Amino acid sequence: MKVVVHDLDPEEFLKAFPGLKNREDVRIIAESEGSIRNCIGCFSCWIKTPMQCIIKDSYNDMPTRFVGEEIIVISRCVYGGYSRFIKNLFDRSIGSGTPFFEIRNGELKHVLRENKDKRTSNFNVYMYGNNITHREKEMMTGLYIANKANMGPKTTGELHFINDVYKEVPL
Amino acid sequence: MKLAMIMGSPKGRGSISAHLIEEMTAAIGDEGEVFVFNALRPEQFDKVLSCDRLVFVFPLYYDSLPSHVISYLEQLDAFIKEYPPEKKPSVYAVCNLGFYEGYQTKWALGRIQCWAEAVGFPWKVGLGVGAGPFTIHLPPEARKKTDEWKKHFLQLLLSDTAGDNIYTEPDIPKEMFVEIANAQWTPQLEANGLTVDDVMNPHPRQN
Repeated sequence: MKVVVHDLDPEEFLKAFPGLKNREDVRIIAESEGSIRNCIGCFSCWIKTPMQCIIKDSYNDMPTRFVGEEIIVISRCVYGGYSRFIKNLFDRSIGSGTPFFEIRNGELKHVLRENKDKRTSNFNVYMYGNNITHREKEMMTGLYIANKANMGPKTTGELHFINDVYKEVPL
Repeated sequence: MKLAMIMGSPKGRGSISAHLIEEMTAAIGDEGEVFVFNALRPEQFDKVLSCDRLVFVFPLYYDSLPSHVISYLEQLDAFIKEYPPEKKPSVYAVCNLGFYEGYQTKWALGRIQCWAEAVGFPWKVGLGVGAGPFTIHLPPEARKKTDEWKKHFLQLLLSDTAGDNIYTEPDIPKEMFVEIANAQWTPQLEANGLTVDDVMNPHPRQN
């Protein structure tokens, strides 16, 4: 499954990439299912209803939906990181991991569920914006590397800084 | 001196960020007047900007800022550009995380620095508190260095001084911390009628 996550206008996005429509092997996640509520840090998706967010909106299945063999994230670069909507999807998906800790490559990470949910293997991120500063790129690069490490040691992929989503993202 | 502490945890109770704000407020005492704001309620921006220091205090969510804090920063940014304040408050940040290593907050603290640069306010320093939520489960001797670094951060805050970010971790071996932290989940799972196996092999409801 290819999962495409973006913070652009949902209709414009599909007009620009019509080949993604009605594909069984492509799942698009955008703010097209009502507004998303923020994670409240209750840990229910870890210790009450594992892999299920308890917030009642259209995004409460993120722990199972925001995973796939390939993930493509398209986000506006905001202060050296993901935009509000994209970050919210990450926050709402923490139930895809477990609350337990382990030491991986010398630092603490959450224990992953092996082979349970087709762990992400290819994670590509496209950060768009016209005036992304050097420091923002530095912070986003660090964040991307940290995200990959948390997703598992087999995670591959690349981070790109772009100006125009519709010309530069290969979809 | 007026200090705005902007609470970045969405939790109503049991928030480590709220605890850190209370700790700092008590330590500041008569040296400053603290006003606490909540990032869930992006309002009273004129009051926030009347302060001499802005201190963003938040938990690390998925290696970065909680999403509602990003939203708050964008709205405050827009307000600043529409109504430029007469004075530019200095910006500080405190981020706590469950992991042992405080340095894992580097990219989140860096986003506050990027925000400060975007609005033209002076960035001063960030504090990354490792093992934050587990502090109460640790013996007092394991908190010594963290307590010292918190004091140092406060000195920088009160004297309007910049510095390199400060990252703390508990004074116990990492392996011991993992054991203590993992053990505290079990009673919480049991209280919900779950086992470790239920967490490792769950059956989530599909929408």
